Amino acid sequence: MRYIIFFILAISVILTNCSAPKTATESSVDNQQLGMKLWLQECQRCHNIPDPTDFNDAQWDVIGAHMRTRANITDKEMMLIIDFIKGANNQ
Amino acid sequence: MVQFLVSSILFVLLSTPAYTQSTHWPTPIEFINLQNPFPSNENSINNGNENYQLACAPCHGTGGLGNGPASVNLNPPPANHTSKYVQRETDGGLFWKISEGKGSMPAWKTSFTEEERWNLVNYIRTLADPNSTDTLPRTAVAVNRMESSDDNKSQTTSSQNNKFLITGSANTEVIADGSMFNTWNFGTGFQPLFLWRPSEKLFFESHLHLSVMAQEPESEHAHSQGTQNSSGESHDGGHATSGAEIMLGYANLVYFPTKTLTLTAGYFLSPMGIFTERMHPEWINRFPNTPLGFGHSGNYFPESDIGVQLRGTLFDSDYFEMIFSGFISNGPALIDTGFYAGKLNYSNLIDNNSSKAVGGRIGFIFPSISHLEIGLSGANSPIGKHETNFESVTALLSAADFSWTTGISSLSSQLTFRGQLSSVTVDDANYFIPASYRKSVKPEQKINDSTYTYQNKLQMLFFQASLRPVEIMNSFFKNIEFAFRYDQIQLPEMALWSNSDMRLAFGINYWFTARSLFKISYQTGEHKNLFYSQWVIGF
Repeated sequence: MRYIIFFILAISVILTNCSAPKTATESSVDNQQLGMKLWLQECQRCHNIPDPTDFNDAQWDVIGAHMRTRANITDKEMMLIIDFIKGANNQ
Repeated sequence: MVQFLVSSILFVLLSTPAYTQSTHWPTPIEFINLQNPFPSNENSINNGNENYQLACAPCHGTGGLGNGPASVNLNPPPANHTSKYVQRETDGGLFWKISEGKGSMPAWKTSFTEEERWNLVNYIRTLADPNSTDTLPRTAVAVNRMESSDDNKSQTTSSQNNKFLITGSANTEVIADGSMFNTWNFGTGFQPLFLWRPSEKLFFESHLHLSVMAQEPESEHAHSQGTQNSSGESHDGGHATSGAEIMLGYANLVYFPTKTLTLTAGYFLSPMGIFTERMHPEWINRFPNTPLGFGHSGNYFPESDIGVQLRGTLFDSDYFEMIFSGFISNGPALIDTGFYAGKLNYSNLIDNNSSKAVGGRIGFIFPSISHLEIGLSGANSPIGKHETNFESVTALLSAADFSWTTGISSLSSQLTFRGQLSSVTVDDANYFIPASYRKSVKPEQKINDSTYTYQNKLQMLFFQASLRPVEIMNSFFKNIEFAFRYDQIQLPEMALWSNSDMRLAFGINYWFTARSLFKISYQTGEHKNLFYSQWVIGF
């Protein structure tokens, strides 16, 4: 069992570093719209979609790191979501 | 009970206005009279519709009623574009609002060209409902734009370079005997979450649980079993919690070595299954208590563990994603004597042997099926104490979980399913028969007069569904959520600490914001029924 888990982990690391980039990022959809789409989808995997005005920009940067850790999202996805939120929390 | 119900209802009614913000949004005078340079023809409206469905519909709804799936969590709520209130706005006013945004409405000027924004205005005009009764006076008072941008500046400057954040939740609750309603108790908790991001690649997170618990149903279930058999025997591991409790939920350092990998070290939430890592915070869990077998104490499945963890994304596309979390940790420890012999102690802060637990979870996500996620977890954990007969005893932990949120247009609702099947299998081992339990051990379990063994496997299951009519127009009912949960636990049948339970829980929740809610639930179980209510504020 332990060897199987080690094997899975090793394969995981290899695959991670050669995984295909997300096709949507290559399309013509701009980052703000892509960020909104991810904000709607990724947040709901665990909890309600947050209101962008709940925190300020600097606080969202910190929360982005927390969510990247907890929800296994990539750096690119985290940046798109946080940039969208920052654009949507003008008071 | 009556007192409690009355106070709960008052509480909900009184709290609602406290979460509501002002919706006043005046247009600057220079934009009020701005003429739309693009005529409202088929091409313009089609282009407007296309972009509207992409960018506006998630909040304002496909028909512009202000009832998109994300609308329930936004404060103030998105505008109803069919209303006279919006339609009275001049073209220039609508154009300015689309371009600049306010509150949680993004500024779309960076995303759409000027022509596309005017096309959106033309499309919004087609949404007008002549029967709309929403005739709130148009807030056409011009303001000095310099003044409002000064406000923005002062708000963000004060928080610049702020890399530290304290957030979290607080809750207060009432637990009552659900059969007789003759006993009920208050409880309260405070769960601050400390987040610190010293640099782009470094991060630290820690969660504390401070609580005064009236009663912890899951651990009491273990405790009551112990009490029934009690005759002066010391019972390790089956703690019932009552009174004040301060607990470290997790505290771990995080390093992001690449764009897709996350390295974690310290005391982290176990990634086994989804409940512990994803659902346990009070503002995420749809019920006031945990499913059977989970919790901070007396739990039968890991909660937090000390070690290192590597997480990341294995594959990422529009149709399929694969994520993983792998860890090496102290793992649980085997309780090898006394009443609870064979049970695992998950608070193994100082490892009882030199072998570490190795495990992880792989998650399969299908973004095109409303982000359906299916997860498989496994861990192999040497649990026996070093230099004892139990040194080679190992536990195999496994879990299968799923999570799915989808919209049901016929009910204008959002439906969320979550579930997890967990099991723990421990190698056969020979335990000493405690003096006071000689009669409890069956002859077929006995190895000799003083030792016994049993098949040590336990299983836990929970399944929950919640329905919230997020897209209906009534601002009270769209915040109500109906929740259902089925959970069961089967501890090893021949263990002295054997037990089983099966519960059904029905709940009604009222959401104030995306992270604050009031929960009421009624739970029926094999051992007792519970009436449980909880008020949670996320901050």
